[in-house]
Amino acid sequence: MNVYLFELRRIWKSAVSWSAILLALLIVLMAVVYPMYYSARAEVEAALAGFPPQFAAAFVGVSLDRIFSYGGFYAFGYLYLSLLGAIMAAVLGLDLFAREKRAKCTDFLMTKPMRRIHLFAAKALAGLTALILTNALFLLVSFLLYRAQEQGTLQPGRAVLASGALFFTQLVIFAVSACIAAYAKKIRSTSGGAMAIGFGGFILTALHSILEEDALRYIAPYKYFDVSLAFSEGRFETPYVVTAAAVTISLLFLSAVKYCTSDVHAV
Amino acid sequence: MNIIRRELRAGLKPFLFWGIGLFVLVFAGIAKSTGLTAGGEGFTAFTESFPRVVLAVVGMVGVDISTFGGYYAVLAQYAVILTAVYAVYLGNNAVSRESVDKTYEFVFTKPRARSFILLRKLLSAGVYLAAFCTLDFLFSIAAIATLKLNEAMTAKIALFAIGAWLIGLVFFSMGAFFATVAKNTERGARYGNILILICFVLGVACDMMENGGALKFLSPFKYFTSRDLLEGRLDWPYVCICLFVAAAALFAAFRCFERRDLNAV
Repeated sequence: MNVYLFELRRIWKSAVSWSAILLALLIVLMAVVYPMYYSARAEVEAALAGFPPQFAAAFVGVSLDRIFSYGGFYAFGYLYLSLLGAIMAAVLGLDLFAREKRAKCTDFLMTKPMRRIHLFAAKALAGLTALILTNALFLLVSFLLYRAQEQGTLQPGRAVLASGALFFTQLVIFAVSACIAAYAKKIRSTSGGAMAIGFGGFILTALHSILEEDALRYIAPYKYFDVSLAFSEGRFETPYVVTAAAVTISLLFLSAVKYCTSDVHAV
Repeated sequence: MNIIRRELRAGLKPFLFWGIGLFVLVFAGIAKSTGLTAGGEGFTAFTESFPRVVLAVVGMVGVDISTFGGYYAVLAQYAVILTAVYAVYLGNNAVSRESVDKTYEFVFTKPRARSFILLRKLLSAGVYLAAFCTLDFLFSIAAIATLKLNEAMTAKIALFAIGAWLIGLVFFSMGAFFATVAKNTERGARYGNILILICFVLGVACDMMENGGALKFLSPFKYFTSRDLLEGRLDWPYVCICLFVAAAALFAAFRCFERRDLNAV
């Protein structure tokens, strides 16, 4: 319990500021930019009418209704929300699991009468608590925005599912960063590492969407949970959900093993 | 010379790591481009008739994916992001690595001025930044050559790499500057990384606006538009802005570093 409370005290500031950033981005996107975007629909329809149909197909891909729906726009915004969310999760993961390594006081913590697996669990729980609270708030705000902005029929279940994508993505990245923190010899800067992880995932995801290669989607973390599908059909795709779960569980397991068995150096 | 040699050796491993990331991005990206020439003539005119906010959402601002050049420009944007993150790391690391490793008292008690040591550290970090952009150029050329794409793009790709280097230089020097002014090393790194995020978000916002004029100054990611680069020119005012910001930040970094209270946090 002490470790859990200590870690919570250490991370709450960054968790709160990251939640504020995520919420601000969400609100700006969905309450300010989306109405602007939606009102441009007539103009696009007019422009499309003046061009051959194959252009329209290349440009839009799917129907205009889909592109201009709340879900369609949320899927666009989600690219950036997931980037920031992933950086937040990586900051938490690296901060929690590499704290003693960075402060060179691992021996201080490890000589306490507490099993290492308990230490690991307390740290992981502290991180989870922060992520859950952040996402509870995110879900609420996201749902309210959906209620206010959706132009078609309301489908609350789907909106909640789509907003949940952020939480699941954050869990994956949290596990990735915990594993990196456990295995790396040295973490010089939490934020630097978190940026590398976050933008690494962003570039992998972008690579998948540029190349349109299905195999790449297994390594595109922000595409494991497809929000536009959640909006249109109310589900995520099973193979990628299974991949995400497997990645998360196995990486957490690996980092727990490393954390519990690694040698501790005095300095 | 000893310092430079040591710094170069210390920076080699991270450099290889980042180089591999760049390699994957460039080769995977270019490999797929062979099958991509949708659209054709007139597509640019077609996309230009839409409001910018719509184009931004569909990911087509100032992009003409019907040509290989336009496609390469999309990839190059991601290479620039990679360069910026690496550059902040380099600048920050040059200033505060000894503090993080708690070895600052070995090097800064040597009979050399602090600025003498810092200059050499920054120089070797700068070498890696330049090497990273050169790699960007070489990988692109090599990918095009091995895939026999028959595109005469060498000069334009060089321009893309120079643009990436200039933008990287801004982030490199700002990273160094923040590391010297912040009270502790973690905070210094955080400021640099927040700067990247802010610039990135402003860049996205800039794409959405019909008239992003003022915003463009604030987002280095948008300084060199792919249209200009593909026409074979760098926007001189922005080149000057990059060089000026870099020079000012580095100057300030040296001033602050001389007075900094060196400690191990």
